[in-house]
Amino acid sequence: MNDIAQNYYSHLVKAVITTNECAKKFYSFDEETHRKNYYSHSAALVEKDLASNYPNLTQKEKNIIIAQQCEILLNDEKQRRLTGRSSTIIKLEEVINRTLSQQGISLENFPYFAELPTGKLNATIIKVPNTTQYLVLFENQIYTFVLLLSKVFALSLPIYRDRVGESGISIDDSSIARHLYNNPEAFQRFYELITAYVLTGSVNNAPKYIPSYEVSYITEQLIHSMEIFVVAHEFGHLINGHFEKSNDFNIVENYLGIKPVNEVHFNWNLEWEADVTGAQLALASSLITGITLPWVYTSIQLFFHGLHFFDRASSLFSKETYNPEDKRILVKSLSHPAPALRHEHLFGSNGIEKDASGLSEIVVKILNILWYEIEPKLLELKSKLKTE
Amino acid sequence: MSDFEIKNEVVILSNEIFLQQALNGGKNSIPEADANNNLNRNKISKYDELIKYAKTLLEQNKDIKSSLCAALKSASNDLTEIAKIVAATLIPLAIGNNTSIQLDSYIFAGISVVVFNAGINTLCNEKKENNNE
Repeated sequence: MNDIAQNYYSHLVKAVITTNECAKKFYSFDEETHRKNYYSHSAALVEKDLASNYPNLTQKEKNIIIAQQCEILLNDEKQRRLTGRSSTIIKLEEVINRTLSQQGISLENFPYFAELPTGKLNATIIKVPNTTQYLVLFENQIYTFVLLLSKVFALSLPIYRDRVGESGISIDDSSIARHLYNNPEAFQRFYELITAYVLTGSVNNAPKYIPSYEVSYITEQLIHSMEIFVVAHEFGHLINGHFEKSNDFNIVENYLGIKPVNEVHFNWNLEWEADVTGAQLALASSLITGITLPWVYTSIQLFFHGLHFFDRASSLFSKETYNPEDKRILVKSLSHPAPALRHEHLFGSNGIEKDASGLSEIVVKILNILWYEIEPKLLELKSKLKTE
Repeated sequence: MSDFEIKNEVVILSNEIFLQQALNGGKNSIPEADANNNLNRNKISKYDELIKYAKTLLEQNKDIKSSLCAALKSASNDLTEIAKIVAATLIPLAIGNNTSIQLDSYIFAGISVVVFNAGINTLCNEKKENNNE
């Protein structure tokens, strides 16, 4: 039972509503506005899906299915705002719970999963004070970050259909480059995502768009496995007893009255350990979700490399003289290693095995092409903003 | 500043302190920039000091604690409700003859969080036990 955690969560929600404008907006749910949004955006997506999978449906039949889908989404949104638990969160909770059982990992108390609309891009695990109960909290922007990054990546993939109509992905360098330059939408979408984050502080401000059926399908696989990895990383802290270790650390810190010199290494080691456990759980979860391992690997790579380019963009806009060769610009925080280092460590000698399919290896290639295409535009935008 | 404005400020500050302290112990999956982290750390350490001060103040001034307990008797364990009652009880004490408490929204908010974290029953029953001794 995690009733204490649930109760603590309700106090956090009250506190966030009292102090945070973003939370106030989130909870002022206007059903009609949302219904209109769903009918204009999601309906188009459902229609594309139906056209591709059920071409023989009449328009009347399509309209009924679209209306049903939109009402399901609307109800989920209502539930999300009433309880902090969307169907995504409930599904994630179930997948992690089943993965842990399957791996023979038992926890004294399974954490309570919920959303806390602070307006930040993060997910976090906290311990309820003076108890052994935990909360896994999702901050609003994490979903949009995962969604838009996955979409941009899926848009960049050279998807082909063979003679019998089966889809496949070409992973050779020339096909990727040819696809990207022949279909430059991915460049534009990546630029929009990066500038929304860096200039407005919120990925939610990036324009919305509806990709093709194939791109949507790949996006779904990536979103789901990336979300699992993010949560599994949090469980990595819990399973490895980091809350206890942190307490010991604080005792040392308080006792000495100074920060121990190894604080950075200590923090980074915890993150590395959580990454490895998180990745192992995310890979194990594929037996439950049915998402194949190459997609899980790809989503993990995409998470780290996506963050890496977000950091790079932040440096580009925040530093007076931006030197892309200077690796120090990417060390953003002493609490976590830079995403590139996290990635390197994860697949290093103490980490997990590499993806045998090679699919995930194209993440770096694609993001590099995207980045080098938009970098001059970002620099141009920076100088334009400076002169204004 | 009117009593109403002070009460509102105490409500917002107490919720802010509670939230910051709760999230500060968490482990994030994505790092925050050190610049933000340092700002946050400074804020948290100020809040930690404030909470320590509020605890000491309540321990050392039994009259303040008993006034609060009397006022909080029928309150629920809701931080906003506690903060309003704490402010309404302490404002007259601070502007009256009681020299041990200043008219300061931060202190009132710190006291509200201490009361909320301890629980009204725990905090006020402690007082009764002490009186019985």
